[in-house]
Amino acid sequence: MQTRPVERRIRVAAVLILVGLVIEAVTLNVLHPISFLVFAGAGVLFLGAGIVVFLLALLREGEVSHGESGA
Amino acid sequence: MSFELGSLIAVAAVLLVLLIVRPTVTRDRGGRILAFIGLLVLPSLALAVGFGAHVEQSKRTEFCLSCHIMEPYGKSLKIDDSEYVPASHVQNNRVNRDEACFTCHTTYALYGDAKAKIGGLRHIAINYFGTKPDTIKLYEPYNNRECLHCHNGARSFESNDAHAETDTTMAAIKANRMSCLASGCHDLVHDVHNVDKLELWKGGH
Repeated sequence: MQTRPVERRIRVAAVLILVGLVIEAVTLNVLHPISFLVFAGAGVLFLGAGIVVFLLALLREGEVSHGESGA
Repeated sequence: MSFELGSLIAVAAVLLVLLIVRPTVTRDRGGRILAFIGLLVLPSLALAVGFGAHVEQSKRTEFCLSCHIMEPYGKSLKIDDSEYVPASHVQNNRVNRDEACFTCHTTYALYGDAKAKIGGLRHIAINYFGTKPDTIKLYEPYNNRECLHCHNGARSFESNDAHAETDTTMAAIKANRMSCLASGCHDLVHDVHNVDKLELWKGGH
């Protein structure tokens, strides 16, 4: 089954969030200031980026559907 | 990491793997709801709870002492002499041993905890990118408020003859005009320059 553009974006978002969660899980098991910085920097960045990519995918999908129904 | 947070991350990870392997599940309504939960709800929750867990972990004694520069301060908690304030507090469980540093080195004012945490970030920056001082000093004199948080109202404190030496002594202590730690009374603190010459208590963990 061919994947649609929105599904590709969802896949990218899922990968980003998964990386963020892995960083979070690892850093929570290391008791050191650097692990907090890695979480606050990289972990939050990946999680945030994944959520944003997902929301943008929803927006884009909404615009495409609206464009098709308008035409 | 707590069981609840671990479970949250695990459930989110399972949903994410499903969405990576089969993004076409989002073609129907149920799949879209799953995507919403897996890509927004659970990650947001994991982020918030994870951040809180990190902040709580940063209060632990083990966390503070994980930097090499803090080694002598950790040692000072084991000094075998009850005149040393931090050592006697930790060894006699007057403060929680797991949060010994944070208990005394935060302020009990409204933004105390947040200020202490932000200060900690500055310490990390200096430790890795700045010049470490030979002697680590407090940013401002230790406020009696931190001592009085526990000792105020305690019989041993209120009834102590030295605290009632004059009519104004107690009032001066409570108003932070006479320092608990710098008036010649309880001024043996970490003493890191001499800690290697002192006897250490072998007990505790």
